[in-house]
Amino acid sequence: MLTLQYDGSLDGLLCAISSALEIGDPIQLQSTAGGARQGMLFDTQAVPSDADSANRLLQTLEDAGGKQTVRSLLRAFLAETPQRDDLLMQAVSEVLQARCPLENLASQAAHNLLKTVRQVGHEIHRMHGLLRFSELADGTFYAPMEPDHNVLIPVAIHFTTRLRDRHWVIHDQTRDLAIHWNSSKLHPVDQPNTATQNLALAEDEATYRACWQTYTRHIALENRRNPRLQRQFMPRRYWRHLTEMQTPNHQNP
Amino acid sequence: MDTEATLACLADSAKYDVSCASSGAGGRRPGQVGSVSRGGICHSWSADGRCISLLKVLFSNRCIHDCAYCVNRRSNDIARASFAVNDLVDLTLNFYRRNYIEGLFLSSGVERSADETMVRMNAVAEGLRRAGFGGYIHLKAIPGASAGLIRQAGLLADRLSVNIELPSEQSLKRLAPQKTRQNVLAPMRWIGNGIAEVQAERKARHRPPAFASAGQSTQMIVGATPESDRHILRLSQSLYDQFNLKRVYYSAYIPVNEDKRLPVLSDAPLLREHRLYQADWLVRHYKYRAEEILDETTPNLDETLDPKACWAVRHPDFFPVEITRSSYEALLRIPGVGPKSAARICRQRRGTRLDLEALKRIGVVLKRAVHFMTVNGQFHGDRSGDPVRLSALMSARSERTTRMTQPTLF
Repeated sequence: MLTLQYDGSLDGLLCAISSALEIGDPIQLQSTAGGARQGMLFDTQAVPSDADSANRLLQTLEDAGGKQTVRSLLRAFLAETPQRDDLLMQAVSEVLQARCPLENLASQAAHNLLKTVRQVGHEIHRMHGLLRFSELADGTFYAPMEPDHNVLIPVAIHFTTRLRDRHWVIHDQTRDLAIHWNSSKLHPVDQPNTATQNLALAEDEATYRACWQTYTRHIALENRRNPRLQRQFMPRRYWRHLTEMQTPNHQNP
Repeated sequence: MDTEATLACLADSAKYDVSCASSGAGGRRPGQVGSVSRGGICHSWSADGRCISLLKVLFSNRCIHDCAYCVNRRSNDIARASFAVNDLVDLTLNFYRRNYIEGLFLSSGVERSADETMVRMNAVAEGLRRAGFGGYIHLKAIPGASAGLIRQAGLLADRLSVNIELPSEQSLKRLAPQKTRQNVLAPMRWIGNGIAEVQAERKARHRPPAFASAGQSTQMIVGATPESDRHILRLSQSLYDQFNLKRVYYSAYIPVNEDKRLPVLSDAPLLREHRLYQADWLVRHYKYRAEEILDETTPNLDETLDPKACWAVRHPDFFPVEITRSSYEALLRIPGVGPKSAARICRQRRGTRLDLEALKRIGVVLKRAVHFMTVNGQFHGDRSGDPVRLSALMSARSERTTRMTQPTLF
């Protein structure tokens, strides 16, 4: 089987899918973003990334399946699952063939892709709620996170209208990515994992954290205690960054 | 008391109110800090599994009323506290900036008079809006407050609510002698009218002032008084019809006071609360009428089987429904098919021939649905036609679903 390599970018992937559909045979896609791997067993061919042909494919997809289909496909690109590229390729080919929105397809591939889209959507929504900012000594608000998917940008966009008047940084520690809002524009931050060591907190920060911990403890109804339900909505892997879970009752295992 | 101690005291006093929704608001310009999200956002979950979306506190738990069921009643010996307006504004803004909350849910005990209480609550909301706060504010309208103050509250808040608390006039008289039905329904009507006015105005001009854009809600205590589920559901239905309510919340009665007027329960009636929420969902999202769900012969909801399945078992003439042709409304009546699956069926059947495999992928719960549908004319369910057997089949299987969840998100 032929392997097509692309540079890991969205444009690159779209170009690779274009080429794959032209060739027509079963094809494997491979990103070289995490260090170039040489295909040992199969023929390997590198596809150059080209914004124009990527946009052409998106336009063709919009003509065939509508705006919502394109939005779904772009969101699926944020997923970090091993089958992502294959699923996208399969879904693109089915949409182009059936010339209808992705949501109207009853196939297994369309179903799996939409499931991936929902997973990404869930995590974005979850981060809208579970992200926690701390005020630093210089007045910047800083929020670390470790999401399963690459959701930094959609999450940051949500906070641009919400926390408009202050500077803030949202930091994806898993991917070593961060984005800075200077109350009018978003900017990427260089090497955030090293830059954010030893941050000094604002004077009041401890007070508000203590108030929040007290509040979450007191608002629970003792007669309806149900920690399993709590974990179901708020899985343990998110607790590390949740202020209210840093109390003695809720230490991480 | 410092702010943290006041907060602890007034959170304790507010926690029996079950509403937490932050959804449905709109129409206001985003502020310097804060915006609202159409679907609402949950920010945390407390140890009882309830979501925390808003900072839910009382302004004060000092109260002249002596309602039997209420933890804050005058005759209770509990710690009393009140916020200072500025402290609460500051706390809300700082919680919001840290993304702990979606906004503020403020209620209050009545320290001296209803009007004075409402004035102070409005002052908090006004303080927040003046600081550029564009997040969600839910204010409780105090029964007995004047129309002008309720109107002001509506212009400041995204949602208003007045708690009915008890489902009948007699119960109210017995357990909350200082409150009357009229006192509760009057503000509800004013709010309903205010919302309707803005909706009418929206047609006339581009951007009328937002008035409680997320609507109004109410809450009822279930299990403290003898009313049947049928009585409660019919009351909810009439509230939805007459006052255009967004939500009615049901709160399983938890004994917080010793009082000879109150029943002695070993456990809060959580399953009953759960079934009432399911029935309420049928009214709001599935287009059922309360009278359809419970009639005179069956005044209470079945504990072993959910209300939608019960309806289906009682109406064999309506089924089976053909998946490939029937209307969205008919699909919605099939147990195991919800609004999402019904919408997906309608989309996907246009281009494809649906089969059981596809329905499973769509999210239909086949275990329940097979008994009530045909797929391309084929029936795959129980053919005995015996309602007892059918109920047994479904309740045995639906054991898992009786595990309590808290459907208070939207």
